[in-house]
Amino acid sequence: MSGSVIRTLILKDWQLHRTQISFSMVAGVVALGVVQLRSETAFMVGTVWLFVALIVLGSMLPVSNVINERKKQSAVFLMSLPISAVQYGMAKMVSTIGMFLIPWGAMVIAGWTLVLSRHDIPNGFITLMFVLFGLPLIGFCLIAAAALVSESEGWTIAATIVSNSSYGLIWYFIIREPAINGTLKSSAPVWSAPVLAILGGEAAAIALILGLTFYLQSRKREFI
Amino acid sequence: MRLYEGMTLGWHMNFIRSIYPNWDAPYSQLLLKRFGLRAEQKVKGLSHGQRVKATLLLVLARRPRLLVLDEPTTGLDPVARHEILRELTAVMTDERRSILFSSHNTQDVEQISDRITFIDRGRIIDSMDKETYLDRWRRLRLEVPAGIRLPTLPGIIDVRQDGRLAVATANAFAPDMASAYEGTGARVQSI
Repeated sequence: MSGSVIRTLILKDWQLHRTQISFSMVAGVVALGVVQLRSETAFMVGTVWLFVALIVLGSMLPVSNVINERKKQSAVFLMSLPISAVQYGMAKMVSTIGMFLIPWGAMVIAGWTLVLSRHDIPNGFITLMFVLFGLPLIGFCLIAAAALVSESEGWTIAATIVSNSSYGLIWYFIIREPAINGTLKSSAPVWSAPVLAILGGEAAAIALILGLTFYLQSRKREFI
Repeated sequence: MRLYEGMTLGWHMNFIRSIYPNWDAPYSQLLLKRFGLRAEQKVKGLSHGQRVKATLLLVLARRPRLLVLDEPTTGLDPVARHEILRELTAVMTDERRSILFSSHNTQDVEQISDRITFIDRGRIIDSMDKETYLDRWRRLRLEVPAGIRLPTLPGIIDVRQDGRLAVATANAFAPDMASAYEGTGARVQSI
């Protein structure tokens, strides 16, 4: 019963947000289409759009899936069902993260394929691409964690502000990193120690945020 | 309790059915018809009365043994109120099923309750079956000639007098109250 209830709740969230996810996918496809226009400006504009689509989805999803359900009192409807606070919390966590990971994963694969298929873009870009794609995922995890754990609009907005305002600064430092900057034009991706350290740091940050969120979610005993 | 605004009533019915294997589908269709609802209606397009009926449909078709409702008829127009009360009364005909509901509307309480409990600031102040309440609570309309003072009787909780007319409210009515008032010179017009 427990597993099937969680599955039902996850499916419910997917059905409620399919339009939002579809829009972000369409935005991603449009951005990739712009990248394909084969000019430096189009490449830059398309890349920015691609990341904007991910950042917007990562900011909106936790609000609409977690906070709005509380705000609009739909959670009370769920409280009338034989669902425990832990089941609800776990379902929310899996659905929120899953709904982001699908478009994020699709865009990573699409971006990777694009770089590999285009002869005018050196494969050295792949390291930068992977490092940059990790950032919206960390930002999303931070916002989702704030929403899931606090269930407060204020804390979620604070996490969104912190996350979204730090992209520019982090991008600046990443682009200036010689291990990335110096290998962009190489014919093959260079997985140097600094690059692996950055990717490892991103993975550790994601694991830490999600692990802590999972731990705190599993300790919730009450809906309110 | 709010349903999901962007989804249809049919979607909500399917969602509940996936959680409750003993969801009574024929009964849910019957309730749709009785309440004048359509499964393909989106929740955001429903009126307040329709939302209450939709929520009640989603609850009733689970065939619960105990139904807990908070002010189920508040804010409803008389027609919707009648429909809701009629359905709740129908539930009450099954002796294995009970409804616990709160209401400030004494008409609703009188119409469908078997047992009534008064709660004031979180504390139960009285609880007994409806018939006993109806027997105990009475309003005595009195004509009080000038110069006559109404006595304080045990069981009378409120007396309001306007000139020669007075209304005494009893929460523990006894037939000898009328004779006690008449003994002082007042005339009992009605009980």
